[in-house]
Amino acid sequence: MAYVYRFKELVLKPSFIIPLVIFVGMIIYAFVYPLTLTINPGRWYYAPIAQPPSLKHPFGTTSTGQDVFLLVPIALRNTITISFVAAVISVLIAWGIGSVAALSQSQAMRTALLTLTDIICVLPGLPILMVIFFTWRDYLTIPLIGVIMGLLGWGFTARAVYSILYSLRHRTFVLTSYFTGLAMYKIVLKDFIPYLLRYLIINIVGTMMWAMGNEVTASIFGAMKMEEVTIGTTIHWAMYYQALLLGIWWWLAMPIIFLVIFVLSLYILMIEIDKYIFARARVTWG
Amino acid sequence: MHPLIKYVLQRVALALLVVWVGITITFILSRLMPFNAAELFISRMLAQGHSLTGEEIENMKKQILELYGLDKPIIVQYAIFLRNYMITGEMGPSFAFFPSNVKDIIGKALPWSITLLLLASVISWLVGNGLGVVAALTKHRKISSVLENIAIAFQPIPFAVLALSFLIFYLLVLKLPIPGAAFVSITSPFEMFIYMLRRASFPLLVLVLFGWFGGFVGMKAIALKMREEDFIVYAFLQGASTRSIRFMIFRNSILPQFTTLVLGISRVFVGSLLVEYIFNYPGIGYILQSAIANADYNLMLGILFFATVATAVAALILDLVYPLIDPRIRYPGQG
Repeated sequence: MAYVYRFKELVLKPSFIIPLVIFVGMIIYAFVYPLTLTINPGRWYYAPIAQPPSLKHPFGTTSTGQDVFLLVPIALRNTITISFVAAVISVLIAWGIGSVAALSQSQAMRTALLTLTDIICVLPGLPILMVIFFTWRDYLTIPLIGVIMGLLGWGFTARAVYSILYSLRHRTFVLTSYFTGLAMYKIVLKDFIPYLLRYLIINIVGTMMWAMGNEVTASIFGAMKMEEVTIGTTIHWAMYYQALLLGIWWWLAMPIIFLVIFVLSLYILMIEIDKYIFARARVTWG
Repeated sequence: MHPLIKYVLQRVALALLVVWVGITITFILSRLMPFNAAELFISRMLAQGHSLTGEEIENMKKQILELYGLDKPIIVQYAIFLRNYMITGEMGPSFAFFPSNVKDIIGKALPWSITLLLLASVISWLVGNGLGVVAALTKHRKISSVLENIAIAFQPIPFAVLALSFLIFYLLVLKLPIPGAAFVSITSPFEMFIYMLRRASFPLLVLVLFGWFGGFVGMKAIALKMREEDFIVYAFLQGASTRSIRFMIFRNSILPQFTTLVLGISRVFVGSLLVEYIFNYPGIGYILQSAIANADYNLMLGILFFATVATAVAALILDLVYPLIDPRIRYPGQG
């Protein structure tokens, strides 16, 4: 009897359950908690200026009179939204282009798509994004920023998808299924999907991290819709008002800490889910 | 055709294609701007306190419109734009550093940026891959697993956050000064290069410190697999020394990893832009910041174009090194 990695086992694993709790806590803090607020935390001077962390203001306040405890969830929400939208768009494009390039019969089509992918990979995406964000900052919304990032960020994913599908097509187990007369949809369902599901999750999480990095970098340069509160713009304003020189470290540290914790919990979750899917795929279908 | 020549031609063509796409994107962005460049420029001139008569303003507007070719059909505009950027290098004046040309400002910064970009990507790649092979083959399992855990924990964190945290840690916790380089009179290109290296050392340190994770994780996985390959087992049974086996594994694992070096350049570029700004390194990232702070659109478009050229050239240089590493390209009739 083969060893089966059961769902129950996954759920009881500390390296799965701890990041899951942190992740869910972060999501609640970022998406649910702001709904209970009666003021807009992005406004200035509703709190005393530059107070260190205390009971009344757990994360301290900024030089512009904002409460960091109220500011961080909004920043986190906007950054997560941007990166998630970017990830969905870019993964859709990457999977479309990668799979057409890998599965199409025409050599010309494949060469054209691969060259396009190479160009997108080499093009420096960030300066382009910065110019776009800066020029159209009056017309941008948070999801739109994500869409623009997604349109430019699919190069690496498309390359990976291409090579995965290209090798998958010629694997023995797929050929075996084909020659034993399995219907095409069953081959896709039983051979392809479990194999590709892993990469889908990896791609989405990977692109989310790429988009977060871009958002933070572009905002630090000031090329962003600066009045929207994101992790990057919070860091930008903290640096702009010399938070480090004045010793207001919590203004800079809190958004950074929350971003790092969110990214790490997401990443560990991804690794654990990936292990689970991989083990299931091997035992049940392999 | 000799495969080497074919390879070189292909790579040069790809680099040109990248540059062309970069220019086209720059052109599209410059034409889609939601305001009139000429009027914006003049209003800035007036705001800076230049006293101009009405006639002068009209003349200036006409000249700027001519420079951008805004009065002609879009195809002609595109041709003029291509000619200006590719051949004459005429990109108009910078708003922020007014009579200076965009071309001159960027021309000074470009060598700095390319040096930093190439050094950072090559060194962090070498460090990552070297450590990866050592970690895969070492008997000290603990050290290698510690290294791997560090790499896995740091890899997903955005570089901007890492660089800033490092800066905070370095300045506020360790209280160390940032090593700079005093200005020295430079007589030869060699001295210039040495000066550049000294200026680049600290940004480079930060880029390498947080840039080796990807190479390390990939290399360790490949090297672990490579260790089981028949030819390695054969060499081992023949009594080859540990050192030569280690070299054999490194030599053969390096091919797939080299692709990540070339493709990773645009990602390293993001990091180097930020590091240039944070550490006042006089490269493209540094001017980009002042361009954004001064709403200098001409300079931004110029930087966009040169950023494309810089990454395309860096990728091309690495691509041209590839045949030295992969013998299959050097010999006709193979691979």
